[in-house]
Amino acid sequence: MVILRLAIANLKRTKMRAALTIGAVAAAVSLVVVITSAFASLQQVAYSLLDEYYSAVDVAVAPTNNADVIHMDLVRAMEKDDRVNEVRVSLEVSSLMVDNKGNRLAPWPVKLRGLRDPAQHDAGRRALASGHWFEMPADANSVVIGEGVAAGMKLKVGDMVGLPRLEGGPVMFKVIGIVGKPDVLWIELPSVYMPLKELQDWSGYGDTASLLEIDLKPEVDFEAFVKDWETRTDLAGVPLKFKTELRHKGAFDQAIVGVRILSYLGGAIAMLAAAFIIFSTLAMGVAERSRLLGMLRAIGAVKVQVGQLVVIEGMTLSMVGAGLGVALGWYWTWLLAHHYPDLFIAGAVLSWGGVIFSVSGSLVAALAASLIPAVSATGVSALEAMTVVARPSRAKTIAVCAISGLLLMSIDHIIVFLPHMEQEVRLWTHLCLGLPTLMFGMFLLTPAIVLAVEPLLAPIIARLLFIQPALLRQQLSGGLWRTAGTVSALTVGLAALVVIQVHGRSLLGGWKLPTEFPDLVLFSPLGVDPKAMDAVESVPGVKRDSVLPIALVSPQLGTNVITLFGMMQRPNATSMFGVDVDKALGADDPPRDPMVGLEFKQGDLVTARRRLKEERSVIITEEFYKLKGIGVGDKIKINTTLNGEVEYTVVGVIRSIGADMIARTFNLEAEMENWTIGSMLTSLENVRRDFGITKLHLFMVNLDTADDKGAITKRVREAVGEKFGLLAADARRLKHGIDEGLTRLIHMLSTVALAAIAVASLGVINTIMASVRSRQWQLGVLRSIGLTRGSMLRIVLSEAILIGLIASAKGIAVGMILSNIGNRMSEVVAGYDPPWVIPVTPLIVGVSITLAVTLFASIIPAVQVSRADTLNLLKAGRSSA
Amino acid sequence: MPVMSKPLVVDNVVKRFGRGDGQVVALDRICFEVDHGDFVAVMGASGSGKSTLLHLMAGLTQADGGHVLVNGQDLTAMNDKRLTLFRREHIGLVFQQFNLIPTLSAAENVALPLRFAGVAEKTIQERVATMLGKLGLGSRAKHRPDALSGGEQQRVAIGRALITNPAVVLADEPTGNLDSANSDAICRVLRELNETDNVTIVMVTHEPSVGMYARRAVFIRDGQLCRTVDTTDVADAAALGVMYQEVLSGGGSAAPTHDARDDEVDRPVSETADV
Ligand SMILES: Nc1ncnc2c1ncn2[C@@H]1O[C@H](COP(=O)(O)OP(=O)(O)OP(=O)(O)O)[C@@H](O)[C@H]1O
Ligand SMILES: [Mg+2]
Repeated sequence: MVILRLAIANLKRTKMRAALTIGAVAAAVSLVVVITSAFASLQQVAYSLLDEYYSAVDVAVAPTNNADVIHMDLVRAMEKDDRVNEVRVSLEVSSLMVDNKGNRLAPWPVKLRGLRDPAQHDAGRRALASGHWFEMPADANSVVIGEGVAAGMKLKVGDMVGLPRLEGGPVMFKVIGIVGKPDVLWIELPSVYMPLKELQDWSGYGDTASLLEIDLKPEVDFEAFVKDWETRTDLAGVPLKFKTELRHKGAFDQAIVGVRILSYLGGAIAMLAAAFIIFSTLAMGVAERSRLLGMLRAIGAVKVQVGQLVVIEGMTLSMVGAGLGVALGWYWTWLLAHHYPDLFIAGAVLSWGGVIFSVSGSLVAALAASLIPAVSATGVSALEAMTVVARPSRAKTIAVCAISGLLLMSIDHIIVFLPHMEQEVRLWTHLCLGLPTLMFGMFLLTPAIVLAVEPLLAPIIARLLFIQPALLRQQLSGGLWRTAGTVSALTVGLAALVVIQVHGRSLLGGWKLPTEFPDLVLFSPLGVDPKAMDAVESVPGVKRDSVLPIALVSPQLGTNVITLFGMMQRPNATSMFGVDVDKALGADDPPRDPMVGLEFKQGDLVTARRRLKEERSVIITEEFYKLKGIGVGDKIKINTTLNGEVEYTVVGVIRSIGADMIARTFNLEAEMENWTIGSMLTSLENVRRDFGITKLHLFMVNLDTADDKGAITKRVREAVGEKFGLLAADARRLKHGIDEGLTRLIHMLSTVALAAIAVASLGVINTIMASVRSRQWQLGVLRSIGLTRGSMLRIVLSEAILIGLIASAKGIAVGMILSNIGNRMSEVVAGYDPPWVIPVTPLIVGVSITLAVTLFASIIPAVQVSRADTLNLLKAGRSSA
Repeated sequence: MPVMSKPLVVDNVVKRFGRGDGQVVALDRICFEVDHGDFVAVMGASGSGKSTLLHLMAGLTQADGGHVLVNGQDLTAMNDKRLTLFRREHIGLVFQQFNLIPTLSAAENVALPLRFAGVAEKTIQERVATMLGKLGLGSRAKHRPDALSGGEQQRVAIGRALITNPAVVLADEPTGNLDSANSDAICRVLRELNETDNVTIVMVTHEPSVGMYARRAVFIRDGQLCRTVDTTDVADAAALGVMYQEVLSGGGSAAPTHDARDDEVDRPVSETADV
C-alpha cells in the first residue's frame, strides 16, 4: 500500500510527464480500439453483403467454374426432394447497357440478375424507390434497376434500355421500377433485375441458372442434403460447389484473416512506441530520484519494495492510459459511425477483441518497460542518500547491454537465413522468438549508439546553431536511458514506415511484364466463343493472328496443408492459365514470334512448347518452384473438375509475369474465395479436357501499328465492345493501374507508422523537459555569466535535433534490417524473392517528419526554460540536484 | 539482571578505498563503543573518516576488516536483505539533506519505515502522533516538506529515524544545512530525547557548539580515534573548539584504546586553552 502511495506521489511530482505518458498510452490504445472496431464493423457489412448475395440461405449452389451455368433439370429434381422448402433461382450475367441505336449508356458494365420470382429474393422484398416489381407474364420485357444505375445512366421509370446482341439491334426493355439503395450494399455492382426467362433468352444460356439458393425445411440436416446432391453433375451438366452458411463464412473469414491481423498489427506498432515512452519515463524517474530511492533503502525499504515502486508506477501509467484510451477509442468509433452509418450498420460497436488486446497489451508493455528501470532502482545504494555527488554513468553496463543487444539481434538472422530448416519451424520461430529478440536487442544497443554518435554530431549541430560546441558536450549521455527510450519510441514509427515502404515496394517491384507481352487485354463478362474473336482481328491496327484466348481456372492442388502466416494465408490452389500454345509461345518449331516472352529459369522454350502441345504438362512460376520445391520433370497432382486428381508434368520454370494479377482485377469476387499460389501455364486443350471450359473470358491481343494505344483501345471497344459486352484495356496501363492501387495501399498503411511517430513525439516532450529540469542549475549559471536567452533556447533545441537525427538513422537502419528479413520471409512463405527497391522520397518524408516532430515537441520546454528567471533556475537547480 | 549487549561496538574496523598507489585508508583499525543512553559527537577534520565510520555503523558499506556490532549482532556478517531488515528495526538514520519525500506530509514521512515494515495502520497513527507531539510538530502533521522550515524538516527526519525505537540513532551533520538558531533547536531536541527517552545517539559534526550538546565528543584523525572528551568537563563551546583545533593541527593522543574514555576524560581542558 505504502509503495502504491509513493508511486502515485512520484507521478504527481512530475504531473506533466505522467500526463504525456498516459496520453501516449491512451493514443495507442484508442488507435487499436478504433481500428479493430472499424474492422469488425466492416466485417459485419461484408457478412450482410454475403447474406445479400447468397440471401442467407441454407444451401447455395453455384458452378465450380464461374463461367459455367447450371442446367435447370437440377432445380426441377431438387424441387421434388421433400426436404426442400423452396429453391430461389437466379442467373447472373454482366453486360453493358445500350440505347436503341446500340450506343452504350455508361462505360461500365452492370450486373444483370435474372430472377425467377422476385418476391422470393431479398431484393424483391425491398421497397422500391419508384415503380413496381415485374410479375410474369404481364411484365415481360421489363427490368427493375438499382438506384445507382438509374442515377449513373439518368434513367427513370418508363424509360427504355437495351442490351446488345451479336446480330441485329439491341433487345429493348422497359424500366418499371427503381430499387432503393440497400443499407449495406455500398460496394455492390450496379444491378439490373429482370425476369429469369428474358435473361436466359438474351444471353443464350437457355434453360439454366448460375445460382440456386435453397431454403430447407426446419430440422433438415444441411450437410446430409449437400452430400446427396453434390454429385449430381449429370443433372446440372457442370461440376457444382455447394455452400452452407457456415462454409461460406468460413471461407470468407479465411480470406480476410490477413487484413484482420494487419488491423491488430497496426495498433501494436503504436503500442510499442508507447511502451518505450513508459520506459523512458520510468528511467527518468529512477535517475532523478536516486537520492530518494537511496533514502528509502537507508530507512529500511528492501530491494523488492524499491523495484515494486517502479513497476507500480509503470502499471499505474498504463492502466490510466488504457482506460482513457478505451474511452477515446469508443468516442472515435462513435464519431466514425456517426459520419459513415453505411459502414457501421450495427452502430458504434466496440471490438472487444481490440479492447482486450490493447488493454492487456499496454499492461504487458508497461511491465516489460519497467523491467530495466526497476532493476536499476534496486541497485541504488543507500549511500546515495548520504552523499551529494552524482553517480557517473557506468560504461561497463552500457557495453554489456550493447554486446547482449548484438547477440540477441543475431538470433533472428540465424533463424531466417539458416539453411535446411523446415519452413513451418522457420516461420514460427521467427515470429515468436526472432522478432521479439531482435526488437529487444536493438533497444539494448541504443545507449551505445547514442554514446558513439553524440560526439560526432554535437559539434556539427553546435556550429549550425551558433552555439559553443563545449556547451553541447554530453547533453544526451547525461540521461542516457531516457534518451535511449525516446529514440527507440521514435524509431518504431520510422522503422515501420521504412518496412512498409521498402518491403511493399520491393514486393511490387518484383512484378514486371515481359518485354514481349500482348498490348491489349480483353475481358468478356459473358464469355464468348473464340471464333467470335474474328471481329476483334478485323479492327484496324490489330495484328493478324494475334488474338490469344486464355482459359483461367483455379484448381486445388493435390496435397492439402493449409497454413496461416500472419498476413497471408499460404494458399493451396493455383491459377491455371490455358493458352493457345502456338500463339503464346510461337508457331513453329523452333518457335517464332511468341506473344508472351517467357524468361526460363529451368527448361527451355523449345522443349516446353513441344511438350505443352503433347501431354498434360505445365510451365510453373518460380514462386511455385521455390515454395513446393517442384522443378522440371516433377509431377504435380491437380484436382480437376472433370477427371478428378490427375498428374501434370512440369516442363519449365519461368519468372512470374503476373498474369494472375491482371486476371484478378477483372474477377475480384471469384478470387475472394481462393488465394492462389503462383500460377501455371498449360495448353487450352488441357484445360478444356480436364475442366470442361467452353466459353472464354480473357483474351490478349497484339497491335500492329505504333499508333497511340489509347486510340486503338478505344477503337477496339467501339468495334466489338458493345456487341459482346467486352472490356478492353492496355495491359501495361492495367499493370500501371494495379501498381498505383497497391502503392496507394502502401501509403495508407504508412499512416499507421506516422501515427506511431506522433505518439512518440509525446515522449520527446518528456525527455527534453526532464533534460532541461536536470540542468536547470547549470543553465542558470550559464545565464548568470552572460548566456543569452536565444542561445539557451538553441541549446535545448539542439538536443531535440540530436535525438531526431539519431532516431532517424536508427529507424532507417532498423527498417532496412527488417525489410531484408521481410523479403527473405516472403521467399519462405510465398516463394517470392523480391528485388530490393528503396523508395527515396517516402524515406526522406519519414525522416523529415521525425525531425519535425522532435523539433516541434521540444519547442514548449525550450521556450519555457528560456523565459525562466535566472534566479529561479539557480534555486530550482540546487534542490533538484 | 541479564547482561545487556551494548547498542554499538566498533571493533578494529579497517576501511580502504581504491587500490594501489591511490589507495586511501579511511579508517585504520578503529575501535569505539557506545553505551546505552549515550550521546556521542564524532568530530574531526574534513576527510578524517567521520562519515565513513557512520556509514559502517549503519551497515551502508562493508568494512575491509574488523566488526561492527549493533545490539550484539555483527553487521559485517549480514547479507543485504538481512541488513535492510535489521536497519529498519535497530538503526535510525538522520541525513544532512533531510531527504524527506516532497509529496508526502510530515506525518506520512514519519510513518514511512513502519509502513515498509507492514505495521498495522492504527498503531502507526498513534505512534506517529505521539512522535510528532514530542518533536513539537503536532500542528504541522499535515504539512508538506516545502511548507516547513529547514529546522522543522530536520525534526520530521529525526521523527522518521526514531519511529521504530532503534537501538541507536546515527546522524551525519544533522545541522549542516541549518542556521545557528535552527541548529540549536535540533540539538536541544536530540539532547532532550537522549535525556528523557534514553535514546542512544551518535552524531557527526564539525561544529563545537553542536558537539557540546553531546555527552561525549570523540575526535578522529586520519582514520584513527585520537581523543575522547566528556563534555561536562568542557567549559563551553569555545573550549571544545580549541580542542578541535588542536586535533586538526596534529595535537592530542594518537593512541586510541578501548578505554579511551577512562584514560582521557580527565585530561585538563585548559591545558592548551591559551595556545
Ligand atoms: N567512495 C569513496 N571512494 C574513495 N575514497 C573515499 C570514498 N569515500 C570516502 N573516501 C575517502 O575516505 C576518506 C574519509 O572520507 P569521509 O567522507 O569519511 O570524511 P569525513 O570525515 O566525513 O569528511 P567531511 O567532514 O568532509 O564530511 C577521505 O579521504 C575520502 O576522500
Ligand atoms: Mg562527511
